[in-house]
Amino acid sequence: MTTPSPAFPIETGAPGSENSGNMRFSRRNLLIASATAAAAPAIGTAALQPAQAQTMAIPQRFAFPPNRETLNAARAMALESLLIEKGIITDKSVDGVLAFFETQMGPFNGAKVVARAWVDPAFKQRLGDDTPAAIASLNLPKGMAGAEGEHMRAAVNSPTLHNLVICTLCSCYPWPVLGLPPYWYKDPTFRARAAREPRAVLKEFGLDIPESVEIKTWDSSAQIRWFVVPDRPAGTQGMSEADLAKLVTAEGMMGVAKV
Amino acid sequence: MKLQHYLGGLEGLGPVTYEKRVFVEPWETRIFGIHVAMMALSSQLPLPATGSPFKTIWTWADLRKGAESLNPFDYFKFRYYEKWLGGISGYIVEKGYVTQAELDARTQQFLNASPPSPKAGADPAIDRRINTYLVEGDSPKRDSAFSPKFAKGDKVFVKDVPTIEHTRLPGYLRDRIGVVDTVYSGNYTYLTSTGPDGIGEAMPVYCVRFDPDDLWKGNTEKNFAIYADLYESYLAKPN
Repeated sequence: MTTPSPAFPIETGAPGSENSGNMRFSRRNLLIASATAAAAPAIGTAALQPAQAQTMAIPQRFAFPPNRETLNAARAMALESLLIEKGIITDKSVDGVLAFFETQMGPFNGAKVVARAWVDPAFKQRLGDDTPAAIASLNLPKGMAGAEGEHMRAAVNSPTLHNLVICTLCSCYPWPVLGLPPYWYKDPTFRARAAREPRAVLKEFGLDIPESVEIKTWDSSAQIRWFVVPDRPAGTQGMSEADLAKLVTAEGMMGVAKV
Repeated sequence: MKLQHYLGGLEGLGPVTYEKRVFVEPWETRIFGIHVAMMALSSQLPLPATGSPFKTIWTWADLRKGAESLNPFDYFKFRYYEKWLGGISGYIVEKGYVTQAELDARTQQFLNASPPSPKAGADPAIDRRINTYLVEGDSPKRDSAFSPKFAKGDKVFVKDVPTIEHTRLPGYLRDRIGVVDTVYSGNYTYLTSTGPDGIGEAMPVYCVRFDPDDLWKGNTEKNFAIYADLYESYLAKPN
């Protein structure tokens, strides 16, 4: 993300619904897209035209080629095409991975874990004390202790404590409960600032944590993949577990939203 | 000394960009899938062999090293998956799976909107292995003798280890004192040896609590604590 855009209100909704549409970029769709793309300059042509160079004193280092995304897409498609041709992967490998994150690993799992914690205090306690065992006790898809979920830990919110998860070194994220990380989490600006000024950063996400509420920030710098258990919202008494799960967002489960 | 190892606490970066999508361009999903496939096929995993000619190691450590080796201006300039595309393409060429000339020629074909027809026929065991990797994961925990040097409540000093190329020590913690909050049970390897930086072999890991006012005196917020998971070789008894 090269230009900052204004923060916009946090939307609630079914976990994963924002992201799942983006997974459906099959090879076929992408081949069609690339075949209809406008003709682009040859690879490596990144020089500014002389007239532009006069008016924009931007060093080459900070300029993008005029066909940035077309070039990116062509490079990615070329790489996949050659890997398939040489038998390194199959023509189904990439789509298979993407499908896994539509159906097996995603925030829909985390939402169920949180909803259960809200209705069952013993489960909530266990979730904080021994996260893998608590998760294993639920009826969730295969792979909850799989890739990027081998050692997960839940940080439980309360009215006096708000947890925030960050990865200042890269973008470590608990795949089985939350799926894949959104761009804000991977952004160096968020990673840098959240370590030192979490309240100011959360305010930009639309979340106001008063100074009287303690904040704990967890930097995922080793094997642990952290996630947050949001506090149960007021006015939800009597709701079914399934309906409670619908309230839980991926943002809430990383600590940049209340729920 | 790489800026990428010292991002925590950096100032002057402007507002956060609240982009909720995982991928912002369709092509990004392809490089993501390629990365997962390569991790699944990586030769150190104890998974059944396949017909894939991929016989080298590719882990998160390799991806991270690629991003950390970028010019720091480029690290901020390029989007997340652009860095993946550069790093993974470079690795594939460096290991000889594809030549740069082949990659450039095929890229030009896609730019010219005349890509070759996709070929089927590679070993389906490849996709079974990818699925197994996703379901079973790759735990770094090892069953070696466990004798942690530190206990919950101990004060620990974070060593300014001589890092070359790669680390899992957030730079803002070097030379700081924290308190052990959790001793994780078991020893944990890291995906690669980081040489003089000190991690790789199985060792205890601790969750250590820091007071932000110790880290950024007079320049942080109140009523907040920061925790980091740290390998034992990064820690020492304070003097």
